[in-house]
Amino acid sequence: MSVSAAGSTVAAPAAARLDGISKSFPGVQALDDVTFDVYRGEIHALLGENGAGKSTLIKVLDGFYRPDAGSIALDGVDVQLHSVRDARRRGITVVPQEILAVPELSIGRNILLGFEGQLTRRGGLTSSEQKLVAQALGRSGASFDPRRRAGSMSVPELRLAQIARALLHPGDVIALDEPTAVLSESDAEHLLERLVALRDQGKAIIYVSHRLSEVLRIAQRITVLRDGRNVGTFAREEVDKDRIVALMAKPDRRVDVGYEGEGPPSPSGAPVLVAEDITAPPNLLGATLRAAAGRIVGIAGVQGSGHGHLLRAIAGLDAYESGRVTIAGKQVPPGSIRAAYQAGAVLVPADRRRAAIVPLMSVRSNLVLPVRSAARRLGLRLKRSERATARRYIETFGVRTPSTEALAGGLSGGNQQKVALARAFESTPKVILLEEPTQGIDINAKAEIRNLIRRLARQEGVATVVATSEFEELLGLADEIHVMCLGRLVATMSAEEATYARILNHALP
Amino acid sequence: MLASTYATELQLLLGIAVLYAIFSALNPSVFATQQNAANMARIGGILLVVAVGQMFALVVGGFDLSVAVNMGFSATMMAYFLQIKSVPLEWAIVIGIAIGAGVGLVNGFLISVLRINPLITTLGMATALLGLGFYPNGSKPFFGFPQSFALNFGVGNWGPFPVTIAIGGIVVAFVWLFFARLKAGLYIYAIGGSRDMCRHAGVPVIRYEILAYTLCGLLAAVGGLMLGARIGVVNTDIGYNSGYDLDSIATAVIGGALIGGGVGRISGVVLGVALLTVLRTGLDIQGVSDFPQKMVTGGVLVGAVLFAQFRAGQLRALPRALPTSTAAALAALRSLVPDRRAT
Repeated sequence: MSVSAAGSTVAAPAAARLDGISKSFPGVQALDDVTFDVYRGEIHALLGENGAGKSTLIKVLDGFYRPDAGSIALDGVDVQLHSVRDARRRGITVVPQEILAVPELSIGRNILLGFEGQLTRRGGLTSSEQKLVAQALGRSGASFDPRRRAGSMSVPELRLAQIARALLHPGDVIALDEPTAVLSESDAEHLLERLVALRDQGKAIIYVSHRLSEVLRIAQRITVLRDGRNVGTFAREEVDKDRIVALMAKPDRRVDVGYEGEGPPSPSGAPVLVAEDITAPPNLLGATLRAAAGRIVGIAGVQGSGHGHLLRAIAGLDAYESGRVTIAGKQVPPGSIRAAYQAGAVLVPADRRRAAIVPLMSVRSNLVLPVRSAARRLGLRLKRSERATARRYIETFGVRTPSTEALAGGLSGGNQQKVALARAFESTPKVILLEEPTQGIDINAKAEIRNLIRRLARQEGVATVVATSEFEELLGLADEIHVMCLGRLVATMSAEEATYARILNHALP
Repeated sequence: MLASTYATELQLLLGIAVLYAIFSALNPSVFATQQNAANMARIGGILLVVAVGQMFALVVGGFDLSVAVNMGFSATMMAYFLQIKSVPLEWAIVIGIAIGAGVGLVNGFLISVLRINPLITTLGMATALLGLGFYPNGSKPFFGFPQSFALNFGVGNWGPFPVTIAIGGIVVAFVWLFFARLKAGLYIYAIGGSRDMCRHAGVPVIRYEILAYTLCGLLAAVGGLMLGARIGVVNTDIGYNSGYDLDSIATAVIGGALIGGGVGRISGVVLGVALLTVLRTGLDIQGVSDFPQKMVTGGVLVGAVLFAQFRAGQLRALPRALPTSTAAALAALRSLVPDRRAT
């Protein structure tokens, strides 16, 4: 207070400062003495592997979690955040990692939720509300009708609505947790431009992302978390991509560069999987796909291209109107999971926690779930052989778990994915269908999963189909890459021909 | 647009019309009379008030199994203050309703703040109230209320309308306004739809959850006073013995409310109550005894939900599963039913 406003060169205090924050959950020290701050007019990126504590830190700032130790200061004044509501009132705006919406309300009502006056409607928007919502949606780059029911919207659309919500009345501190993870490249691009503009207006922005290239483009400062600790805060100029990757990785863990096994079998082998002209408007408009034993076929597509729908159609989750799926010479009727499974096709779905594992069951129980599991005799569970099966998979798949009896939901994303993969293999599949297998997991685990997929495809001779919107994951993994766009396969390229730019070029509508 | 939005209501209207026609044809001299219509309105009005209350608990994402006992308990407390503490009638009524709301408030606190499952909370509350209701007057029921109480809440008429349906109508109007025009109404729906979203939106979730259960308890108390006024005798288990707990949930669900929250319209509740009342009265007049009636009511409840799910397209797997399972079920049924031609 002794400093006069004029001529002062003393820097303003941080817009938000988290000082010495610790937070533990049963069995896990999620945050250990983490200090992090963000100033007005800067974008401060928060990086780290899955389970490093990024989302926990954001949730502490959001008032969602009360820290065990440490203090929070806004503009230099210590505060206690009692609830999310409290954080909002103090000018903290957070876009959480989860996609959240009230399905029965219109998208417009969802965007305005919490900003209404005492008198409001549940149904249609008033004209002024409609204008407000249209403005907010426009700012986030979305162009859909705000009167549509949230329950009928796709995940990327809901994400855009969530961003629009946050940018409707943004506070001085804005934190975004993995906002671009489910967005198409063009929508992500638009968001980054928006954030740079908000920064230039003097907002303090915290940005959490796995996409390092984005972070390096827009951030002024970068903080890396590892195992709940802050391992360093750097100015943008001080670090490059390799340095960040090295910081994020645990020092004792070696990253395999690639699987040094046999190459792909010749594509001339008779295909195990033949999907012909699969049509289920509007998502699939005549898609054809073949995969031979031991080969890895990639399907690249942005959100909404139908690459996930094609996998689900083959696996029997979604019915289709016309077309034919043949697995190992046997035609499979549309929409029958059971028939597809019996023919030998197993899907590992993208929604890991909800569909690929049972979080509240042990790793062992998850692994022996398949109907065809060899760990049972006459339908009776044999604990000893289940344990042996689980130990075998834990070893061969490199699952990092305290024991066979640990809850699968307590593992990190990458290890959950390994459990899901192992369970698929316990079904002795002929065709394995992987939907976004490396989504939302850290760089090292991604590499591990890629190697695992390669090794299993080659050694077990399984026809493997990988559908993903993270194109870089397919380069160096798939033997051939198909690109989908708006329900059709629009391009096919060999592993040698494929480049990121080439895939993207075909994938964008 | 209108037809698809209000499909549940249209189907219920059709169902009510068909039932009405059938019972009228079967028993024109008793069922198809003005007196019977008034009688049905009198019975239905009480259930309507309780079911509308139940709708608050359902929409916010839970349910309240304690409404039936709360009806009897609140009425007992009203009678206790009226007859034993000699409080004037108006004040005894206010106290009774306040106690019912208080029961709802405690339910809401246990469910929302302490995060106890609604099933356990309200079941526990119902059991506890059945015990607590013994103390005001032992096991002796209260009776001999002033005539104005019976007339104004149970058996009289307001103009051309039986008083219970008039009160039901007023409650429906207020609750409709509440849900259609107030922020609180929107938030109760939104919390039922996605509690997490509401927390992130800075909605004071706990406050509105407690409000929903409190209003549910309040309306249960109003229904309890109406029931007490109608039958002239008040005991803790009057509502419980008449099955208002399950009936209130059943009518709301038949009317399109979703267990789990976020969905439900007051028009559906009104028609659900109408359907159940017409069905029960018709069966009564036909001389169908209580046990088959219960079987029919249970079947209608499950059937209505099945039908709604079928329409919503959630049962796409059914047609494939149906042929074999239906054939098996039919064969099993046939073996149970003696062949009439043989005798």
